Amino acid sequence: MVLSTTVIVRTRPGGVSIINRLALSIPPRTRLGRGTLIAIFVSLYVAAAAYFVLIKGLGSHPSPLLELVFQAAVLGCFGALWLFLEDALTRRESTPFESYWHSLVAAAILAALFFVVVLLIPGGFSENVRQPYAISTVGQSAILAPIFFGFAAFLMLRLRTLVLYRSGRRIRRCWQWMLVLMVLNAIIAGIFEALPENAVEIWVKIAGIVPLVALSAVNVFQMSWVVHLTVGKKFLAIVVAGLLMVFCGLFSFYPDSDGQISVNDTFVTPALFLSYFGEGLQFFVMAVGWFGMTYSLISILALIFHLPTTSVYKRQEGEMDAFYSLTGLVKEVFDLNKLRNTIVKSAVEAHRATMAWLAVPDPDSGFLRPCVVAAHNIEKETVERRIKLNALYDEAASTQAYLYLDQARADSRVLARASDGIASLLAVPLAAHHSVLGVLFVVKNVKGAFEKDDIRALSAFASQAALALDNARMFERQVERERLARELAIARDVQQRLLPQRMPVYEHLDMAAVSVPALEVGGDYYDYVELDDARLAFIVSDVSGKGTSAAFYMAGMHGIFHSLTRIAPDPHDFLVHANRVLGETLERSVFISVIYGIVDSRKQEISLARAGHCPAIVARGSKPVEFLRPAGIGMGLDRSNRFRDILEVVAIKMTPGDTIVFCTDGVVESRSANGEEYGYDRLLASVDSWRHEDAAPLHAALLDDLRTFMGNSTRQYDDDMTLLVIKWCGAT
Amino acid sequence: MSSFSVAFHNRGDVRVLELKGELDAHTATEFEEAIEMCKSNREFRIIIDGEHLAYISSAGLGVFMAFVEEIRAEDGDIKIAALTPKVFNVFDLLGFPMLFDIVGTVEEAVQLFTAGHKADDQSNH
Repeated sequence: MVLSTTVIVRTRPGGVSIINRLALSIPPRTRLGRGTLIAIFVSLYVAAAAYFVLIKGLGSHPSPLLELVFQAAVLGCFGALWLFLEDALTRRESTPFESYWHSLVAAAILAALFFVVVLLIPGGFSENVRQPYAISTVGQSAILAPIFFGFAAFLMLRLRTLVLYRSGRRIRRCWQWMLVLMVLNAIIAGIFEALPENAVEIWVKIAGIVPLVALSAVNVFQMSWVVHLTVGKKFLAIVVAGLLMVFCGLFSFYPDSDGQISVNDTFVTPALFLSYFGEGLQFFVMAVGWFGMTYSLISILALIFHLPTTSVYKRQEGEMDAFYSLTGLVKEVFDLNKLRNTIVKSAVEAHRATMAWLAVPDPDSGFLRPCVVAAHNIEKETVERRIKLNALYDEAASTQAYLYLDQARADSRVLARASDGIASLLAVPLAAHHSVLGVLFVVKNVKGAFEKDDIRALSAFASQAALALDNARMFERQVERERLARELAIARDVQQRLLPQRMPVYEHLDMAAVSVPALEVGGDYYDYVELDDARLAFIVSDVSGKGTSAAFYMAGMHGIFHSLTRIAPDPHDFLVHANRVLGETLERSVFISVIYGIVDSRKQEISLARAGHCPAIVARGSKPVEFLRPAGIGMGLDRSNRFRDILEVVAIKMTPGDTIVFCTDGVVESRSANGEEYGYDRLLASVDSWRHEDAAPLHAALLDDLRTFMGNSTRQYDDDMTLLVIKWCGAT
Repeated sequence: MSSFSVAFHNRGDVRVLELKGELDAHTATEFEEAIEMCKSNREFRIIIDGEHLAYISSAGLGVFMAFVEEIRAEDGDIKIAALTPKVFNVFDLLGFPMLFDIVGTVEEAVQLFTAGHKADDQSNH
């Protein structure tokens, strides 16, 4: 009781009730240490035993109150022993067979201890009256009491793993209440022992025992562990359970006038010693004995009954295992090869097949010819030699139904010899989302070896495998997609670094620029090089097309600009040389439009040439805004001298406030929501209305007007877009 | 969604490809296939009728460049006719008039072919 109180205090409301805790299955969340339990057990036991020896030895009749205290101490002492054993035994899960085996070993130890005690210490009980034969009987009882209880507790804790094997909540409840009732009945027996004879005793005891018997009757039929044993284990378990049953029978045997165990003419039945020590203890131990005996008996019957069905069950269990291993794989394995190997291996193991292989369409041969991608117990090459894979695959894949050759070697599509072990063959298509991902071939070395339920199970297995394959395939694709996205992101970074990171700081110049690719990377380019204190070379170019190929040519343009502009800064020279260099590398269908020029602050002049590029827009003094469109062919279009002959260079004298705007066709070809192009006229008007602003606000206003025209502000540009503004501030 | 189609006509022994809609990076392959077809039929005298061509991108222009050398090597040519002013401007900016015969009507283009042919014949004699 002391112990119970302690645990109650530590149990949170709403947690597992004290009865459940004490009674068993779930160890207390805040458990007492094993040392504490042993200390409680030893101290209470020593006190109880001392009292017991003293009272019985003196032969006096103690007061009922003192007797109750003694009973409570006994209860507390054995409660502690129970908790100690429970803690020790639940540290490691034991298999059903181990539980039985351990119980039998414990029973043998108990028997040995029992006989050591009764043979070494003279004592026992006298005939007829069942009274102690000698004073030493008191000592015997005191020693045997904890031994018997220990065994009873051990037995119950072991049987618990059997009864509750893969059980539901209902059975757990049933078990817990059975133990509670055993303890309650023991307490009742103890109380009535302390009280004088009275009439209600028999009714109270019956009221306690009837529900206990009912619950025990439910628990003794919990035999779900039986089916999981192999045949050999079942035979062994029958023997062990038989021995345990016999032992429990002897153990709970209550002596009557005929059947007696006697040593030196005295009775030494366990029940007598227990009863002498306390009725409560005797009741509990006897109840456990009866339960153990009945459970063993039912176990033997169940084991015998299940012997013939073992192989069927084992096979089903194998199929289930194959399923589980595959469902696990669906989640975990995204290695396509590993998955394929597991599929064929599982098919063989689950169906005791001779071999299995998996054929999928070969991507290298244009999805037509199937090839073997995984095989178990057979070489891939052997399959291709022995089987006309095409024919079998096509039939299974086109009908999307299994194909069963019960006499495989009679089929013209199987070229196997008798020694190859290909006697019956089952081909199951792996179909997911209405498409066949492959065909699984399973082979047995006996003709007609696939039963209906084999085929059904393999078909179910195949659909599971198909899902797993489908997932793995999608995963691979996703990985590839992400890899490409990463590559493109890197390409974008690299390309952005090819563009100027800052605008040049020339006191006479005010510049602003932006370049946005339509895709991750693009073919637009703008840049400048400071040739000396007075001269700045600049370029705006646009590679035909967009995307990756354009980006490569753009990078080429970057290289040409930076190297060539220092050697041949003059616009005519530069473009003619650049066209020659590009002519050697550009594809026929690709060309680059360029505007290249020099801003010379000493001459206060901008000279530029245009190779097929969009015209520049110039706003000078008070003149109307105008296009600047010197003659010139796009680079890469002409490899003859025509390019050089036609190319025209214009030079413009600049006065403070003069502005030139360069763009690529992405600007003028941007479209509004209803498909209308922005066009040169709108750009011209926009430049005109902001021409007096500084470069940055002018640039911002032009972009703003464009975005407003496009409507949806989050929409991407349709084409690569570049806009460069150069404003002449004049010499200071 | 941009739409594009190519219609085939014959003017004597000259093949006329009538382009309709928008010729951009997506529809350029269709135009390519059309010219490939002319090539495989050994029809190297080709007129591109651009009357109904609403838009052309640089990728579309690239198709002309991709084939013109081969076709000229086979004594043929690609001539361009009847472009709208807007589309002509795109050709013009890049200097295409310097590289191709771009004329106002298909008739003119046919005449250029026959005249050119006669000139060739004369030079052969």
